[in-house]
Amino acid sequence: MERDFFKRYVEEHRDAFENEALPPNMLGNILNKLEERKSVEANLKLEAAPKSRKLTYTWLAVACSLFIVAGAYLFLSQEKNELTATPTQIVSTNNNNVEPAPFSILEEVEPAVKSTNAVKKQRILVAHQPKVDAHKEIYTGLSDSSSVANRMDAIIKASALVVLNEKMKTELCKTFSDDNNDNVRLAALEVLSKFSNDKYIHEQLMAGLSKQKDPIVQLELVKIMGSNSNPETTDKLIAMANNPFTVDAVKEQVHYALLTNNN
Amino acid sequence: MHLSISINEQELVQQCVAGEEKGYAMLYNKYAKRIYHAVFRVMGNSAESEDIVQEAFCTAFEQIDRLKNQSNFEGWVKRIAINQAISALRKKKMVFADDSQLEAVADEDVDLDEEFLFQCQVDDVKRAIQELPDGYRTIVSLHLFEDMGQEEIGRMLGINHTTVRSQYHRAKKKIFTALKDKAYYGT
Repeated sequence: MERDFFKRYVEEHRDAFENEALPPNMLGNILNKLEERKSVEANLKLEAAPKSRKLTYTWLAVACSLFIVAGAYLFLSQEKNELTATPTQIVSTNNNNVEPAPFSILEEVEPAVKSTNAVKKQRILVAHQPKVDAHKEIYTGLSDSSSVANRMDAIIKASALVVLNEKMKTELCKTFSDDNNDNVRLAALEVLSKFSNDKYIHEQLMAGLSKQKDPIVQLELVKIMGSNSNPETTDKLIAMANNPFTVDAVKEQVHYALLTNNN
Repeated sequence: MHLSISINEQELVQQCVAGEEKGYAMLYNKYAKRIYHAVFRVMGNSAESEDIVQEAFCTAFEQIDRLKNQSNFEGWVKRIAINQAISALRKKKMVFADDSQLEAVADEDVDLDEEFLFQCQVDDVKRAIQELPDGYRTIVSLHLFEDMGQEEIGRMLGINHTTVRSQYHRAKKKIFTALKDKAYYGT
């Protein structure tokens, strides 16, 4: 490719092409990741070292212990199969007659299940398993301070939830309030806005009116909270309008919200 | 001047090899912005770009003792980051297609007027590049900003160098069309 005037344009305006600021705390995340990896590597080395020493002592000892472990495993798994044979049958026969809703299964099979506590526990665990995992995944994603994409992904998953439990509310509000990435806070706000009638969430959103500094987040927050005629919300909106650091577009939205509220 | 910069960089690399945090921080502060923008131009997405840049710096710092030319840390990390960005695009099922598979766009005559380009605002040019399809944008970014030749880009993306050339020219026409639309209609 010959050198063209397009390239010359880019070279002459290079600084203007790269004038946007870096996302915050990237260096901190890099140093944390390096630390984590170093400690994982050190642990792996520590774990590997005694194993290799044991192996060099005597192959016979290892072979014997393996034999004992394998024997014990076979014995226990056989016993376990006998114990679990009955509940499995109950589950499979009932599943054929049941409606798709997972929790109604539990009620229908209850009389049969009551005979053994172990079976009941097992069924409850099976019925609740996916829900717990989905929530856990979201909590893990939200707390991943090293990856914006993971946090965004967790928020997208949370947006599919119809009801938020207390922990989920707290985690999402924490993300909305404290996350250092504007896009993540904005996405959390979008999810929380669906539940703005909830008392706790409403309080957190109201606190955001004085805490959030990013204009895009402020704009969305004012749009959500603007329709609320609570005197405390009105006070915070007035404070935003009077703040010299509030950008004009946000001020306009605040004025609009205050005017429409008074009507 | 150039000599002192390279000595400094070598010292910083040596500090990193010794595991000193100051070395990491100084090399990061020196090059992160340029590398982030290079990745962002390829990915077109800030969250993914942030993850890729973090991962690239981690990989580089972990393997810094393998860096042969210690005065070219920037080029090395940038290469790691761009490779990771291209892999990420591939994971998203993006295909760097050959000419035959491409739409017959931008083949109409567009006057590539140098004077017109130099009258354009950088923000408009930036937006026109960002709005290109992923494949075109990657080629334009690598050639214009990273100064890579067509053979090198072709090897990196796994396509023929003539395809790189023709896609680059089509991309340029698309950029000009967008800029002219903006100039005439203000859109």
